[in-house]
Amino acid sequence: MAKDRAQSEDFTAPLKRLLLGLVLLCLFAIFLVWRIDSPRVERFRLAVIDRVVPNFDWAMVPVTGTINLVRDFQSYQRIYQQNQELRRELQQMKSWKEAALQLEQENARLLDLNSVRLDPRLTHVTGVVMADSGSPFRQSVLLNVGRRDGLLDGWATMDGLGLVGRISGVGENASRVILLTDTTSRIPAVIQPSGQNALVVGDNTRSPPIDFLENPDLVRPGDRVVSSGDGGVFPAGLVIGQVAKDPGGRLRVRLSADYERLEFLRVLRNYGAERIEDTGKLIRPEEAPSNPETPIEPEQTSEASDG
Amino acid sequence: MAEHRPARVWVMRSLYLGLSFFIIFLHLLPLATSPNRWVAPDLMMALTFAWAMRRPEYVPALCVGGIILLADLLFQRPPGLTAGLIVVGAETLRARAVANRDMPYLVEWMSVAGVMIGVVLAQRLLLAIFFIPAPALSLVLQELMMTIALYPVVVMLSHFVFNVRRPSPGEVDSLGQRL
Repeated sequence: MAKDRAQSEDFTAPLKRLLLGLVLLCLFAIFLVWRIDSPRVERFRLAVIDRVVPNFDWAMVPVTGTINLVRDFQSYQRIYQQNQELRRELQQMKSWKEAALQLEQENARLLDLNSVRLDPRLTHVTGVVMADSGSPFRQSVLLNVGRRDGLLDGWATMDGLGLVGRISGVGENASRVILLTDTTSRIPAVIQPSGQNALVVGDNTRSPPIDFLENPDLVRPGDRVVSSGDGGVFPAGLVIGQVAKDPGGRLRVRLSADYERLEFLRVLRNYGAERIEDTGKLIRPEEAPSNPETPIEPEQTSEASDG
Repeated sequence: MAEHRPARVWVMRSLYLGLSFFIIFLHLLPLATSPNRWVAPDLMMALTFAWAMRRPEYVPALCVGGIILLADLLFQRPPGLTAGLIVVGAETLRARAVANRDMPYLVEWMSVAGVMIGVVLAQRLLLAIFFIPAPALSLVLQELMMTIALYPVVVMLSHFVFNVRRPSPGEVDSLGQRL
């Protein structure tokens, strides 16, 4: 029997080894091609995601819903405290709302007085979060809107409160949002009220650090961080968060967006600011026509100057 | 011996694929959208290695390579790298599977841990060679420790729930050959 087995091994072993070699060759070839020609393979990756993830949706939505329900249920245990807190917050909110309404009216009046024209194309598409990145090393989510809805790479994504990330990779029915917390995320920002320019650099923590700050002395914890629109990728003035100082003394952004619960995200349509390409022309006084009755043509004037 | 019909091998192979899909599904659930301080273990690697150690015929290289390539694509990892390394790791263990039958469990655990460490090291090395930014070392080490720590649980589940056991002495396959 042992001899039989040895013989059959002899027969199948080379085949198996060949198959194994082929599999390994394919896998490392894919890796190499990805390294050399990343965009093409990334497009392939997005096509795969586009096919696979929406198929999971029927199961994902109820499971996510159930788990969130259980989490919410746990929070019912301290419902009384929460109720008190909410009441207090509501009081504050009411006063703020009053102030906001007044400011809004005032703002509208001033805009009207100055006849300011706001960009009419700044509209948005809202998508539902289908899945997250699945890996603890990358921070991104998949939305259920894609090319079908006219999405383009680089558009800003917000939840109700603040900036969440930017679109990076658009499939037919899905698109990936790289969150501000991802290690590849770099967002130009302005810190108000000092007006300092800086970069918000994702580093896989909850509050990304602020980098390339000109003068850190002018920035205080609690200052607002908004996108600056530098580089023309993002519209300016989207709220990112507030400055906070970590125990190491480094300035970080406490993000306004509620990263714990990303459910619905708003993708801002942004076709980029119109670019002014030609340099300004020389402004010179129009040549006074020698004879006002005959319209002067260029050839005539050149002849005239020759003669 | 109904257990050893060729159909059973195919059932177990599809069970492996199904379990892997389930693990991918769990990872993709949008529950943790903010960065966490702790990292979930790499269950797919543990499952693959446990089965490669016990019943190598249930995890052919093509299955392993295919499913982990899919995971690579879905999880935004460099495509093909983890898949290739895990296939290499599984083959290393497969070569040791026969010798492993008589070994105590602790030795098996140690050798699997060794292969897992090798896979992670090779991954970091290759990422460094190809100038690809590697994830934070602390997170990777944490993931590795969790995976090694959870390996016995995966083995227990495979043993009692999915009935993936070491072939007992004298077991024969469908052709009447000794396993």
